[in-house]
Amino acid sequence: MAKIGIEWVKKYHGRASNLSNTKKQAEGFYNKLSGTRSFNWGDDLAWDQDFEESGVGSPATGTDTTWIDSVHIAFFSGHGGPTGPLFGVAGYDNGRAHHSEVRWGNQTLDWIAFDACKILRHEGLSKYFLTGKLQASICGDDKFTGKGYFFSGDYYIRYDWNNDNVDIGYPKRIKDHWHNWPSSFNGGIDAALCGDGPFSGKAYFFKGNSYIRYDWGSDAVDPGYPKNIASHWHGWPNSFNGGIDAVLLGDGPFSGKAYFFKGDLYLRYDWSNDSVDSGYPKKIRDHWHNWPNLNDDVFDRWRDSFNGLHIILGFYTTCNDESKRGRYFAEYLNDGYTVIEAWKKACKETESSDAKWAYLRSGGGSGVNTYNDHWHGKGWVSPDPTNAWCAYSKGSC
Amino acid sequence: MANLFTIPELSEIRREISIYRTPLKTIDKETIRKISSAFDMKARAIDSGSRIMVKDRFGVLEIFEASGSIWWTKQNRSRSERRKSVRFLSEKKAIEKANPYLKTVGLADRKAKPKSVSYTETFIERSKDKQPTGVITHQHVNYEFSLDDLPVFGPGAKIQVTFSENNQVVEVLKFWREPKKERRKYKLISIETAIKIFQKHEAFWDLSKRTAKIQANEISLGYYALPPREIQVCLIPVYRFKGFVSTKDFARYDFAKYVVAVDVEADTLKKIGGSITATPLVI
Repeated sequence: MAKIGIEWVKKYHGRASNLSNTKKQAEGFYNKLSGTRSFNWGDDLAWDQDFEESGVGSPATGTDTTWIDSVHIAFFSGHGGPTGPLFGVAGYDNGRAHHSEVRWGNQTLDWIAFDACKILRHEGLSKYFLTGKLQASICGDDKFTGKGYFFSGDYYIRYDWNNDNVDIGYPKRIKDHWHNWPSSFNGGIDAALCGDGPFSGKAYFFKGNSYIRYDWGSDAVDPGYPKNIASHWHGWPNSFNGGIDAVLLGDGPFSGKAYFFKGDLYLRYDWSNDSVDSGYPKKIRDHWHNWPNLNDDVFDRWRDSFNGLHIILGFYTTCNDESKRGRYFAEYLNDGYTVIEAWKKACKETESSDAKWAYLRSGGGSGVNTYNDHWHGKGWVSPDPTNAWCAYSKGSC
Repeated sequence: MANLFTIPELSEIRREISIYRTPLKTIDKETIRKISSAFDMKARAIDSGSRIMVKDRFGVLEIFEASGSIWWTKQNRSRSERRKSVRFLSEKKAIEKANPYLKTVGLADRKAKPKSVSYTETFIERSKDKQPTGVITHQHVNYEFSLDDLPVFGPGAKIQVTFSENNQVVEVLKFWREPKKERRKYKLISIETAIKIFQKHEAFWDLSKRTAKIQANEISLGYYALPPREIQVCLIPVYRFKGFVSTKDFARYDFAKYVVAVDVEADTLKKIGGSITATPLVI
């Protein structure tokens, strides 16, 4: 008989906000799935070390062979983020099952599901936006007010000022979304700036010795561009002359400021004082929240966790604190759906289309096909993969 | 010292709201036959408890007994790891194609409007040293519902049409309960009261302003629809709070909380056939 284990956290003791439905969620799964119920640890008895391998990572106090890696399927419900799940108590390790501390499947575990936010976040193009690769930025105007745009190569990401966060779904390709974009500006730009005063409603993009003017209202590049910069622009600050990667106008609580970027630094310019604010330059990543980084690569984070494990199930986005997903997931597994399809269906039933399910699975080895895995007794179960390769998928609920 | 909560300033949205009952639909043989024929399915219906299922070698049709919601999936459509990229329609054209399709299968609804076009993406990493290759495998047109110009939140109020190879529809779902408007309107609790309920919610009991920050960026009024397999006799009027929490141990994560927005006595609810008394004040 296949074994089931669950852990859940409602009370976070101030480490994070409490959750209301994690117990129901996890126990709905536990009580519905046909199998042997091995353990049900909640709140202060749910520990990160239950998920961790002894001697791996730091701290190295893992007991997964007794718990998570002693069952065929494990289900966690609680807070989480790209680096792993968060626990309510930190006294038994550090309260965080960091991806660098886990090695799953070398004993029993085949599948693990995280009813937690963003465990499987992945931005395939994040590396474009690492320090030193940023090329330009600009504030949205007209119908695009409230957004900031960052450009790198042929791609851009969109920042939401109110949420102080990068919007989901970015990066995107520039030429697909910025109309009449000239081919001479493909492959990257140097800087961009929104027009102000008499030039409001326009945006300026710079590349080499040329620039183009974009009209926000018509959502297209004005006719007659590119033009020569030197012939039309004068008196920019000398300190960043020739070396500016990007410039951005502040908006919302940051209006009246302009931000100039160079390498991994930025400085803040005050329009009313007509000067750079004191204390600058500063590090971009220390002050611009949720800036994409290497940690956004799901393969880099979780690849080494697979030691016989077949699939990690979770979310690319935030998910709701709701109570029914675990039960539905178990019912779909009992009904004979594949593990992947059961997870997708349970997520679609319990989230709006803004949320995105995700999974990461391992492959490689003779006769291995983890994509078609079913719950034990309900269909095909693959032999353990050799972890020769990994596949990741995400989609709208 | 900074406050624990930062809440946006808002004027009163409205004082009253209509209640929409969502009575159980009878799903008889004729209803099943009609829905099945829209998807060209002739197999015998099977009662699986929460859903009535029609299954043949081409597809699976699920009809949720608690809501009348419908979910059709083409068999084998779910091979979400196809290695070749598929060329999809522009987002505008995808919507233009999804709208008449919904009419054809009898799922179009004037209360639903296209909200977004999204994609299922797959990335394969062949080895540690190689960049993963990514392909888009499905395109989804997502619809949202509104009643009296108010959005209906929650998983039980959406339509999704999914396109795959050759822009063929391979999945469509409509999660919705047909609503009936009550004649009288019901008094809303004020935003101030809603904010107090939100701030007193157990989620925030253990947070301190010395180490945590809770910022609501948006408060909006709407209705809440439960998942399609749950009994729900009326759509619940709610204030939705969206924002983020930051603590010393867990930096910046998003939340959405729904505060029940009506001030209705339990006996009144019973009279109109509704029961939201079992619903907590905050969802």
